[in-house]
Amino acid sequence: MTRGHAAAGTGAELLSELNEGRSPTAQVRRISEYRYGHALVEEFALGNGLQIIVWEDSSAPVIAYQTWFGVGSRHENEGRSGIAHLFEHLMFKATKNHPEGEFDQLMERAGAHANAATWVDWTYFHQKLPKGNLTLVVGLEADRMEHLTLNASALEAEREVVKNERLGRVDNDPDGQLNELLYRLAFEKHPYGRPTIGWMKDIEAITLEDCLQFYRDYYAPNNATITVVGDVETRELLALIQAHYGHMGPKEVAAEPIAPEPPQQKERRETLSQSISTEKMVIAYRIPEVQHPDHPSLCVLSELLTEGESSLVYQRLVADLELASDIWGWVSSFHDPGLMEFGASMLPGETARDAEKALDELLCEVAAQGITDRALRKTKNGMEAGQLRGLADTAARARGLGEAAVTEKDWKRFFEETKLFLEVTADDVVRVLREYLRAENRTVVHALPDDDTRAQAPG
Amino acid sequence: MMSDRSRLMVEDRTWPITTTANVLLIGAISDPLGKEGLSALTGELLSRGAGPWDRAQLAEEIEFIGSTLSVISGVLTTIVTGDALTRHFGQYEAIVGKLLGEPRFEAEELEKLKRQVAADLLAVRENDDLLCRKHLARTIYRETPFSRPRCGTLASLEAITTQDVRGFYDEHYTRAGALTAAAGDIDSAQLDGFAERTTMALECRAVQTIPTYSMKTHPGIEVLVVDKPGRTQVPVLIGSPTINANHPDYLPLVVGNTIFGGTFTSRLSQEIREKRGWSYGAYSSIIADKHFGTFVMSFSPAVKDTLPAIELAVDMFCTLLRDGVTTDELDFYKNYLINSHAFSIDTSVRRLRQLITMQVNDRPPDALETFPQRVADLQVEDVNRAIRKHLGRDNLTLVAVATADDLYKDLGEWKGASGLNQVDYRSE
Repeated sequence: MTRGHAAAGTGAELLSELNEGRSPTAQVRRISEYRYGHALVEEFALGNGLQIIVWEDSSAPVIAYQTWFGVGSRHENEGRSGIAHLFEHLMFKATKNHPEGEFDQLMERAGAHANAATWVDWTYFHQKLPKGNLTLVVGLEADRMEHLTLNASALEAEREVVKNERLGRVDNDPDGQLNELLYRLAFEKHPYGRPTIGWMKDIEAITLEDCLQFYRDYYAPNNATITVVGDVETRELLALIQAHYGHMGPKEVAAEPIAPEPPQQKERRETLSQSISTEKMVIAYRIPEVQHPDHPSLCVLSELLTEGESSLVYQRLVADLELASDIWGWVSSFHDPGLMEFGASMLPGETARDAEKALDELLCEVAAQGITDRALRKTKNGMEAGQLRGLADTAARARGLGEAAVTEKDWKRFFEETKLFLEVTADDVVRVLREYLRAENRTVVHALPDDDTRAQAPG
Repeated sequence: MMSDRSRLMVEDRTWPITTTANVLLIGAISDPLGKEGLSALTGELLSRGAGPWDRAQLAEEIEFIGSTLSVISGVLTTIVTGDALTRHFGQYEAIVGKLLGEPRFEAEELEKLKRQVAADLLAVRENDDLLCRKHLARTIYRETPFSRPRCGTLASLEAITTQDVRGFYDEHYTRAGALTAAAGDIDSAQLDGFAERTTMALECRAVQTIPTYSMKTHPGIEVLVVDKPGRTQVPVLIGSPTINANHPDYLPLVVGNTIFGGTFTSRLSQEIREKRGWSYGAYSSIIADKHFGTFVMSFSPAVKDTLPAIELAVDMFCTLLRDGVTTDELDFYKNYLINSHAFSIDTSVRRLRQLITMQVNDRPPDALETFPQRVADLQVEDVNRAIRKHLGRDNLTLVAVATADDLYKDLGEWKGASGLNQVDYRSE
């Protein structure tokens, strides 16, 4: 909980002033609020559907300003994987009002750090700025949502950059290759099986018309959420947003291609031969989407099994059996059903097969014997502390709010999820382990040193 | 904020959590010859059994209270750092005290750790960026103590015994010159108590000495190809030693570097990435401490673009040396640095990290506060003089991780290279 004075909130009188003389699309409504200690986070919406979430915090003279779009790689069509990400790059190019390069020039002159990211369910454009730069960032963001101008030379230059990005993240990176294969196997139908960066042949095939259509299909105020955390005044922010976005009408957002992944009936498995020194293993179990009632229990399960050196998997595979030099675990928070993953890098001479067997035995033990109250309390203490660490940074808060808004359609989950974690019981944890962590529900990839690397292995 | 030379504190009561750092003046620079990695192993072993707890029990104690606690072993310092929820701070303090003051250094844990570190050393071979950096450091700083591998080599790890670890701890772990720092839900009395029961509980021994050294120089650009099969992309680093962070010309040199390659709008990024698409990122940096600095240009082109990108980067660097920066450029990037300074101190933990770095490097106590004004006061003559005096076409080292068959001949014929060598990516 925060300390200090409770924030007052944005009243009806202020909104009335803001809306006076404004068109219907520019009218701002206060939708809801959330109080977290003395902090107040408010949600607003413009008449055109633009969602705005504001957390005033004057503890540091900085602003985190983020624009989240409800489009990610899951919205891509077959043969055009990577277009959401490539388009994210293109959003930094020329607009009707700013020639190419001017966006970055204006941002850096103001001392801003600006970047963007694309993933499976969203694309977001983020800035950290010194306070006092709201006019700049609102104007620039609104301008490129509406007035981006694309041409063939900009596309070709950025295509080369993205191809280089893929070379670095995947084609020349064993872990990138492993992850890409895992998802391709785990999702046979759903677009989550395609890499967000795109297959190289798809990146090369994307046309200018594809990009222009993509812009028309997804970049609209009614498909966007603005999250702002930091030293701002809500009144000033809303007035600026009305001025720069209020004339835009909502657009029909393209329906995403629906290709639900059918239930998995049996284990999927593949072995990859790579230029690596020791074996690696990744195992992914199919789990429900982030809004599913079981999701908090799955997060607690993953944390209990893999977070920290006292975790069950670390103790078994690294400390006790000395099969692995390191392990990791992760739970997707996707809009659609996703994965719970376990990974391990073996010590020299140890095998992924043995690590997989040891993990299976451990999971069976936990399923049979349950977990102790102490283990559950430890996990919850860790998750509580983890949330507090994230709250220190304005950008991390803005990101958490935006991701929850777009993926879960509920920005308050950013605060609520910790409460949900704390409510999980030992029985919940064991139940989801038994229900989801079954062999027929998983995909396994072993990465083995190729012949050349094996021949040169030390000792 | 509180500061004397042994304490640093940034009080922030916003959230009920506190981050601490015990900064000791001991690092890899003190590794005996043939036992490189000893400092790092000693540091890591602190967290693998202390006082009444074996490794598993210690991890359980730390994580049960929701804390993190780790040991960061560097070339010159060892930092024990972590955080604790306010309601558990007393327990956390006791754990840190045991970890620092009563490490077990069990033989079995040392052997396990050595096997893990050996695996990590092998894993570096899989990461082209890390490979490139490793070889750049080894080459630029060869024949100085700073080229010695911080984590050791497979051979040096093998040579390290429990007696070595205990001896290293007994000789070097001292409260002399140490710093206890905290940020968050803590006040000065609590920090004093934490310091007394952790850092100040160590013996007072001599602080490590830094061996004398001299940097070797060479004419032109020496090229090293780290040969690795199947590369379709080539990480390239071009670097040289330069001045330390306390040199009067350091700030103008940093500003000059920002113009050349420090941001997205900088010259290097615009020419290599934006105009030509030859690399996902193209930057230059200067990293320095109180001993020396390192200037590095970095980019990762596809194989076909590697030599053109190298030629362009070197050409741009020569232009920088010859013509310097313009007043317009200086004004722009001064604005950027002054305005973005807030992000280095916008959370209590970031501010604390900056203060720790400043103190460890003997910077003036007000260096953080005066940074914007010092940048504002710079003139273009200051920056250009610093560039010409402390960067140069000679004494550059270029390291590229590539499949030698693809590139070695081209680099051999490149007129920019004054020397060319090749090393297998598996070499230590």
